[in-house]
Amino acid sequence: MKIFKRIIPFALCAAVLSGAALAGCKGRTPEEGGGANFKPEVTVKEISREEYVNKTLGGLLGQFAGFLSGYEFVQYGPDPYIGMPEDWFEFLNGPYAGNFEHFTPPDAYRYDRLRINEATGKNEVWSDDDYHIDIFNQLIIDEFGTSSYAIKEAWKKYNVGDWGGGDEAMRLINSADMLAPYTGTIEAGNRYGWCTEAYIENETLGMNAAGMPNIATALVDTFASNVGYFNSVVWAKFYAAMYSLAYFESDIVTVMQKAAVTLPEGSYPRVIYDKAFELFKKYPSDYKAAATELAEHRRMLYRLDNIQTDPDINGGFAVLSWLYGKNSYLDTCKYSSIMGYDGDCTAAICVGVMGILKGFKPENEEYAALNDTIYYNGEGAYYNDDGSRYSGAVYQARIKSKEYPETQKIDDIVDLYRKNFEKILVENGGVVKDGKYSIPTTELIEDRSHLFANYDAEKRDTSGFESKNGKLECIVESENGNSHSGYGAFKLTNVKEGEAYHTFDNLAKGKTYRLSVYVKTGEGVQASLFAEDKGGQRQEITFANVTSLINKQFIFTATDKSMKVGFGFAASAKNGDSVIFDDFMLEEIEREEIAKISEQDLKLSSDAYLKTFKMPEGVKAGEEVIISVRYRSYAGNSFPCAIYRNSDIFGSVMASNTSKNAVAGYDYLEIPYVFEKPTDTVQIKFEGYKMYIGDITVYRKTQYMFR
Amino acid sequence: MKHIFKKLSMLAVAAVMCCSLAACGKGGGTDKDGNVIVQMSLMNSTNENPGWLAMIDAANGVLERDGEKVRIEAEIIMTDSWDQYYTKVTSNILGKIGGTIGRIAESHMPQMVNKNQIADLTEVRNALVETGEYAADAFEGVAVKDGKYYGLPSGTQHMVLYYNKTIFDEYNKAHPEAPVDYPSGDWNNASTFEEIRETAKKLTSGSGASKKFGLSAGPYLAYAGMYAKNSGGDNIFNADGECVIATKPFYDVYEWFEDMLITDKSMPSTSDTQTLDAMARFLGGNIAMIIDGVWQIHDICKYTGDSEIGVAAIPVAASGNVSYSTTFADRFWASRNSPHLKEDKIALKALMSAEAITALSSKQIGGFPVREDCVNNYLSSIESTKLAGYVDVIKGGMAHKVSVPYSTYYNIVDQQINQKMATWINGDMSTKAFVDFMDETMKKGMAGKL
Repeated sequence: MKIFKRIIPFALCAAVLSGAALAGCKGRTPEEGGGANFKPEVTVKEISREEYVNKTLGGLLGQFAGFLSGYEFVQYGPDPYIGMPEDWFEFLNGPYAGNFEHFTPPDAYRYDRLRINEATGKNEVWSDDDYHIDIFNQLIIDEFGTSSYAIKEAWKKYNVGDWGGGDEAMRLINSADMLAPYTGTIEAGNRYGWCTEAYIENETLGMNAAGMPNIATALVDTFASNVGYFNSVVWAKFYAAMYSLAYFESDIVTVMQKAAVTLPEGSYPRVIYDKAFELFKKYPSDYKAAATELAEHRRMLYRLDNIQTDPDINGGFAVLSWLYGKNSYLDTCKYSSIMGYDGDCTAAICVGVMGILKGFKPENEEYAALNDTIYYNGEGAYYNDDGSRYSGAVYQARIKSKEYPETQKIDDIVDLYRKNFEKILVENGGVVKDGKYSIPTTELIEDRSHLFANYDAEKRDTSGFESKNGKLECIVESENGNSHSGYGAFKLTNVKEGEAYHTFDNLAKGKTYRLSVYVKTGEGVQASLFAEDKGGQRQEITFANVTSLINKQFIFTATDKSMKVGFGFAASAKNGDSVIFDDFMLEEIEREEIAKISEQDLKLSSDAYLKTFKMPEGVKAGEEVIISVRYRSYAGNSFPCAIYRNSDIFGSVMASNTSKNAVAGYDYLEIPYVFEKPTDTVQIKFEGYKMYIGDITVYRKTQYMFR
Repeated sequence: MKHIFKKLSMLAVAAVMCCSLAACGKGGGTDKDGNVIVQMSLMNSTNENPGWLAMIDAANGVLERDGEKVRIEAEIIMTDSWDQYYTKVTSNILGKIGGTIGRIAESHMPQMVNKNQIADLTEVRNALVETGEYAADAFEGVAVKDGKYYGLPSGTQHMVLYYNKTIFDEYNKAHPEAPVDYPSGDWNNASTFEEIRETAKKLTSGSGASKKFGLSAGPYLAYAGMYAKNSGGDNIFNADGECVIATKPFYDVYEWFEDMLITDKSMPSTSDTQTLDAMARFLGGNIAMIIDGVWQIHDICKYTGDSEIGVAAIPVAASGNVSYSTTFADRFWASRNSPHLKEDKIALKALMSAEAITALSSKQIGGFPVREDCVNNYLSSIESTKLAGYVDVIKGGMAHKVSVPYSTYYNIVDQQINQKMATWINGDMSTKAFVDFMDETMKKGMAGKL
């Protein structure tokens, strides 16, 4: 492949998918304005269509191969079996291929996912959550697009059967037309959003953005947050970036190191990533010792009910597998298959990347087995299991609609990846010409997180925070209920206008920041999230009566380099009111305002609010934007707020309870929206409730490091 | 993914919430009187919690009486599965949080010792032996490694055969021409496998969800040694330490199970107990006989309503064989990385006191007291229940105990056998092949090949 190095700002300005990914068109640099550089340098690289298809085929076959080789949830007595014997590994013949020699799973009748189709005499790979959404995503992008609305419409039409976070997302879509990212959240009612679905089902979106890792992470930011939140989404971005970067790399460690920018410094995924490298160095030839020690660093997570689905430790096992695999396809498959925990998923992720790195070439060590077992020189197929080929309940991940293809040739799936890649490439300034792709490749946008020591309360004290007019303490517990991750959480108890805050001294004046934090209050208690500069200029949002943990986001503009960011109580709050918080995560974001729809004080509406919106200049048909609506709700609880577009249901978002009464407090509804016409009539419905509605602003869609 | 759904009753959850809230804080600390708070991890059980909490109350009374500046608080782990409880407490120890002392099933003790996470309690053991409160041999077994004692026995629990006398009586009333006998309570002259099979067959009736079964008994490895001894064989290993599973006594036992599970269908299979476990079905009058532990005494007395319940010895292969009973001895432990190990040991000593054991056993919880001076209190507490007439049978089992030969590999052997069990029960594997698989798996475990 050829490499050209040039900047193509105009093409990238038009990027449809990700403003944050490739924006920075104003030419800002850290030197000029401070803050993060959202504009990585572009290097145009060329790859032939044939090579792209071959590598993408390698990636997809790698997903299948890892899954069919990997061991999932194996126990060693009461402990998870970490570091299974090497002789348990048999390429393409693990438990999910029906080999129960070393591990007999429950419900073996439905476990075997590699079965001969009697009609063709060839094996087919049956659906599993390791890849069934990855494959479905290609249909979504092709038929619907990449917006939250597109995902919702596709899931609704095709009726996704899934586990955990995906199953919950489907329920929320069916019951309330819920849009991502709300579908993946605790607040909307996704009980399993912490789980693995976000990354095991969406990481191959990197193959839709070969060489463009920021596009990959932007896609994942929407698709993965449809089914999950927190570190599962962080890992999804790491893996998707690897899938994207692998097209132009040959060394797996280099791919990991480049993708590691997606793991915020100080975050637990980053801690585990670094720990895996450290342990590989400590135990260069003992994968079992490394994995065992790594697992000792597992942290608790709110509502996690199966430790073997912990996204962080599984992420560490993936990194170890790539390290011990030493660029060998089969060794990587082996280590990821036997490392432990959610091994089939880890192996699918790991081997998929190796497939891209190596391509699917006859001279490769894995080629013959893959071809003879799955691919059959292009005749190989994928089967969306509907349960008709065995007796007993299905209990497998699949797409349920009869309109969804029962069987797809693997080549046809790869062709969908290619088709979607070409569309995304062109939208982002690339060129498709003469069987070649000119790709505006970049490095990843730099880490723009601002995590400080004890942001997660895991020092089990209150260091990193100051307080006044109230009591700040760190509560420690062995069962998550107040704490979101780990064992610690902070609790601020009000005396009079109490506050607890961290002072950030390294902000860039004029830049935008987003705080993601998990909060809980006492019953009937209202608290604010605020950012205040030394001059007392204050920005805030409020929330009230949050009696179990939810995530809150607070977006503010830095009015000074140094700002206090934290929680506060109003003068009307009672002595003894309290707020609990954990995982206090700040990042700098891009926030490009593209239209101010209305500027008004908060006004009371009952049941609904109607407004006519003009599509802002520069927004393309089908482009997703964010409509931000200032509101006050005192319903007493969060509830789904339906959005109607030109009289038809568009979707719904969660309206938080901002206030304990109608008097004070507000937050912003962030509605992922796609214009249908040059002028849309948008109705926000909150039947049975009253809400105050204020300013409405449209922003270009952006991506975040934290969800 | 595939997460785990916790099955906790609302009552259980409510009980746990109460205890968990009390346990919140900074991992112990001190109370307002300057007492070091030692948190004690306990597995959640709605029915057993009152017993353990009473024991802690009594131990705190002893500590106060003795002027110790230590108090114990319960930290109830929200699970009723030993495996999940074990996972949680071992994670907590690594995370330096939660209980610094606790209780653990005997089966999990070797792993706890092997993980090097728990403290050497030899000093406590020696003190308890020196005062004559405990017999020296009470501390032997799975908690001993290299001459050091890492666990203290919280009580022993053995297996018996419970039967619903009312079901027997109703059957006999309907079939006066061919009545069935109650199973024998004589440990030296127990009912035979064949007698129990025939009785079970007769007491089985109906179909589908309302089907009534004659017997429930788990063909698990933990009990295999007991049944094999009752068939004249050895307890998994012979005197030379060799695995003897692939021998006639074991084949006979599993053929007995095959007869009832597959041929007669007089025993519920795993699918029959998927929505309601076997003990719940027994308590509901849906199963006539069940082989289970003395830890069920509390529930049986409380939940079997108007049904009369009897207790019998474990069946044997042939008349004249002595009946043996698998016996478990759960342990108390202390965390090695506790910030107050000295206080943990003081707390454990108080939990081993006569007052604490009496408080526990008065509620028929915790099994047979290991302290000799508390045994009568336990037995007399049973005398005030509907099992009053069976105190001697229950006591007799203690004289016929056989221990499970737990080791660091035993659990994984047990697990692999359990995984294969469905294949056998479904008829996809012969009984001989299944017993051979048990034997091979045990030998692999012994050789460190699992």
